[in-house]
Amino acid sequence: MKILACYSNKGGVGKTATSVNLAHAFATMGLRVLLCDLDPQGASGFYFRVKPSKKLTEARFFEDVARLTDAIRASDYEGLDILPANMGFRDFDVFLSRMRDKRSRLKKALTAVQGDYDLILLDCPPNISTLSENVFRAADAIVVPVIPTTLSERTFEHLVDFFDTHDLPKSKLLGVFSMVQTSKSLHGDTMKSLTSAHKKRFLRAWIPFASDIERMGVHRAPLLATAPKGVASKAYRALAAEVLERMGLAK
Amino acid sequence: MLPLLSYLLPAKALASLAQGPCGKLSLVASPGHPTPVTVWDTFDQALRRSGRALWEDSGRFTLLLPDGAILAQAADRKGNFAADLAPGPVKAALADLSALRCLLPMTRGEITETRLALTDDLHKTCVRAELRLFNTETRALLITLQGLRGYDKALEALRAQVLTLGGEAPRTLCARLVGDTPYTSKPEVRIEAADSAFDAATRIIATYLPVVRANEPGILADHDTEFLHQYRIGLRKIRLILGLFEGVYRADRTQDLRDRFAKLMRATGPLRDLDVAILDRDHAHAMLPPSLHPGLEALFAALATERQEALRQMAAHLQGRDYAAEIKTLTRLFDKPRHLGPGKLADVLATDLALRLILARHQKICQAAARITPETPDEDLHLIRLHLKKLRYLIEFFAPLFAPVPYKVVRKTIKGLQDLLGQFNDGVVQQVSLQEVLLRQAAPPVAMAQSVGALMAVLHGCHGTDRAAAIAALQAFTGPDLCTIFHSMLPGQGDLP
Repeated sequence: MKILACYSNKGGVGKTATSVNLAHAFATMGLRVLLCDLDPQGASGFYFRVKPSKKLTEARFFEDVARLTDAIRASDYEGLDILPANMGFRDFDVFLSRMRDKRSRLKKALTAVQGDYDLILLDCPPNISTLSENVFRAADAIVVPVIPTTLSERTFEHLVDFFDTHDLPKSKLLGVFSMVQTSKSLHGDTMKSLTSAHKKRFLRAWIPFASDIERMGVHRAPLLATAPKGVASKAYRALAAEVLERMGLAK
Repeated sequence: MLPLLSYLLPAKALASLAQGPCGKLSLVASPGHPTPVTVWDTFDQALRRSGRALWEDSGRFTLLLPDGAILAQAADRKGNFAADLAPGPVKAALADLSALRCLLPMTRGEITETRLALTDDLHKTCVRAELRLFNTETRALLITLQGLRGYDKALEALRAQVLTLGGEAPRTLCARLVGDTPYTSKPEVRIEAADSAFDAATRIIATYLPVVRANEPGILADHDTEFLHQYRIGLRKIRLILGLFEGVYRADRTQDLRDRFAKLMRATGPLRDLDVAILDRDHAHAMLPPSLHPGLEALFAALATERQEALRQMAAHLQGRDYAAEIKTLTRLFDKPRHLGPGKLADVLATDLALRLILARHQKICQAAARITPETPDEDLHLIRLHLKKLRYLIEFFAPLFAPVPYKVVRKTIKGLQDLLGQFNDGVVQQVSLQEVLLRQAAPPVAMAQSVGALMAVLHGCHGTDRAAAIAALQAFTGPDLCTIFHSMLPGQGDLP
């Protein structure tokens, strides 16, 4: 079992859309996937029509294996399960701070389901916290959606610095350009400069700005299910294939 | 016990299921279209007996297991034996079927599949089900439940509804689809304590004649070699009764019947001998190094050609007027036995006679076993094998007479011993028949002659080991432990030490 995180310190960059569509794409490729929603807003669960977990409260996520596994729900798609979030997840840092080995508790908690899945995908909240550090340590790879704008560029640089400072392997970082509008020269220029500055960190695949992605909230379903032939679906499929290749999971 | 995964429902439950909600959940049905379906089983209906059902539709095989689990795979295959199926879960789950029995279409009809989903207030699927409506000999409705992780209550709600609608275990699906009483090579012959030997013998023969006849179409179609084998076993059992129950029918009638059944049996000999030789193909290849395999291929090609001719002759025999008239006469004779003519032992109690015969046969085997020395000819061992075969058939005919536990031990031991003696005898016979095959070839290729020579040498090399194993097993069977079990099997002998 491998763990993949979808993380950005910046909000609104398409983390949840990326997580949902990647998780579904992986499942269509034959992998057994668990999409673990760590964001208390519970948007991943919302997209799959899965209700928030009522019983996975307080520190139980990290301490109660039975509750954690009981909270997992099958999605409507073969091979894809969801661990939905609830508002209690906003206090994860508080609970983690009281625990021993507070930076590795997430990985420990996820080992409870390692036999059930080929891949666990973590949809992370937009902050740098103890939970984020847990994510950085637990994940085998971290997909970082980056809108090719100045602010997102700055956020990515911060993340790379954080990895340097905390002696975390930068090879885990897989930058992916998100919400790309090819008509905007700024997007093109930023993509070039970032790719040049971080040669190995950015993936070839990129996700376009597409109304299909915005409409996911209306359909409450992944794109490959509602608009499988659309440009965005093709982009997510290509991204999924490239991520699996980088993680050594490609068949 | 784990809950079932599939249930058989009354066909009328279809409407109720497809329309009604299930508790707080709504039901979404996606009906399919009727497609042609073929239900498969072996001739002896091994799948039906084991509570399984196998059908083919839309280019795939689907197998229902006794617990209701469903397996499916593409219907690609190079033949109709289970081993001929493409690798997949269905093939794996059919691995227990006899390698000698092919799958046959038992019935054809239509299947309509409907997918059901129970959804909650967010339109999230909480449990799925597959409804399969079969329309073959009869209509049958199968529902397969598919629970989803984290939605156990929804699954149980649907299960409860299925049970309310009359859901029952799916083991009888195959029987419902195919109808009719299944063929069995070992039909039960009810013999009462008060039955005369005449009645019992007549009933046994009248029961086995239809078994013999049931195998005729399969021999003609050449589906698999078991049809001829079972045809011969049926005849052999009839001949055994005629031989052992001597005196039950008039002497001249008995002799006449023995001659007539022997003639029927003789007609099967050449084809069966070739079947046995060809079935040994893999074993023969395993015994010789690859360099000698081309010669073996030539040998088996020659045997296959001979078999075609033997099959043609067998088919001509079975389809001939003489055979039709003979088998009809014999069937009528045993169905209405007043013309059989009772002999001097006709009124003896069947069970008394059977017990006497069983004890005598056992004693004969014990005596023959005691006489065995290193110099005992192979033919004598073959005779003991025939005694064992007769003893086993006798105790099988009269099985209800015996104490069940020792009966099982004795029967199993005899069967194992017969197999060992059979293996030994086959090796001896094979050496002779291989030489005969070579002699029958106008100009046998050198490679074939080399391989046959090598095969004979290997068989000769195994002779001593096989003989020693057979004798050791025989002596164990006639030793004090198994004799005690044998006697404890007999009625009124349970208190023997």
